[in-house]
Amino acid sequence: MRRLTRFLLPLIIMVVFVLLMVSDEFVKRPFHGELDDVSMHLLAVRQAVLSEDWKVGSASLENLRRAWGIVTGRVQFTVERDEIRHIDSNIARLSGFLDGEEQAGALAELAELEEHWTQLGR
Amino acid sequence: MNESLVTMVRGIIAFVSLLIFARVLGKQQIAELTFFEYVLGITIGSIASTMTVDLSIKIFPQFVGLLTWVGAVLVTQWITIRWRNQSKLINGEPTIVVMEGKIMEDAMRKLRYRLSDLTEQLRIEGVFNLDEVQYAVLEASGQLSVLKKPQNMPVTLQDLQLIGKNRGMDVELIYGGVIIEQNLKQTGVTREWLIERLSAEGFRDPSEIFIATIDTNRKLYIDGYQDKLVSKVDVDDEKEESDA
Repeated sequence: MRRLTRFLLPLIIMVVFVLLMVSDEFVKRPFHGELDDVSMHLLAVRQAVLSEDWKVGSASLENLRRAWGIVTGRVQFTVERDEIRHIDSNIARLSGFLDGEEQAGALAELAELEEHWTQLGR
Repeated sequence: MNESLVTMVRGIIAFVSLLIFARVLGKQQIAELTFFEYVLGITIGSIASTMTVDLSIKIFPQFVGLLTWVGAVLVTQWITIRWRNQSKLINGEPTIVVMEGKIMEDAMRKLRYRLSDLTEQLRIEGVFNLDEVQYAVLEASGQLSVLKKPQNMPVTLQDLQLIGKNRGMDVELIYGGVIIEQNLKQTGVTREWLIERLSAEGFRDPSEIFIATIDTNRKLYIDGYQDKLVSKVDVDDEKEESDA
């Protein structure tokens, strides 16, 4: 028992910490189906922008914002603060382009957002 | 993003990691650390604090940094234990600054060790006259070891050809009002004997005792929660100032 607490317990704690710290790729995945599937909503926004369907685009962006909010709660402990801020800014700017019905700007913003999302936690 | 919550979680991870690493690194006291080990300790502590509050960097690379430094310290410790010469190189070695009562100015200059440093450390060691010192050695930890001249050494029992009593080490019999059964067995003391001695000292129950110890000559030291002091000494100077 003494051996267990002296060696095994600290070892288990360290392993748990390391697993927590490298869990970003895992916690990026959707846990609640469509609700927090950021990749799926990103694709939906892209399709809406390409077909210039601004109403659907705005609705998809709202879904994306909600999904990102849920994922942020999980990834915030392991990723860089600036990575989260960049995605927040991308979503805010994308919202502006959709409101202004500006396809080129929206696509550029979307491309940057997708890149930030891919790089998140790497 | 809830920055306070993230800082708290990171703080817990850094704190527990540091606690575990500190246990792995060993039991050296601050006073025994060499200058290099002292700096290593500060660096490791600094990485742990950055890990907690610097949210602009991912936590895992910072943890790897912490792990690297702890690993480096372990390797250094292993080298210094294994090889004596490398140990001198890494930790430095003791230097004689007073030899046969003479101050070694050259050695002190090399160490950038001032005369005021020497006299200050001698005073800490209870030496107020340089004339009393036969040898003074500046250890790798920066502490000064002093050997006084024979005429300035305190008289020992051996000098007087007397044999002292071996008191051994005290063993705790009661701590925080609870009798430690294991130590009773170890010292061959019965519960009844202990209770009897306690009542002889005016205690009705072990729960009234903060600590009770016994030495190898069966001499008890008892300290109760209620201290019956004849005259109380107050060293609080604030009270005096406000009274004035």
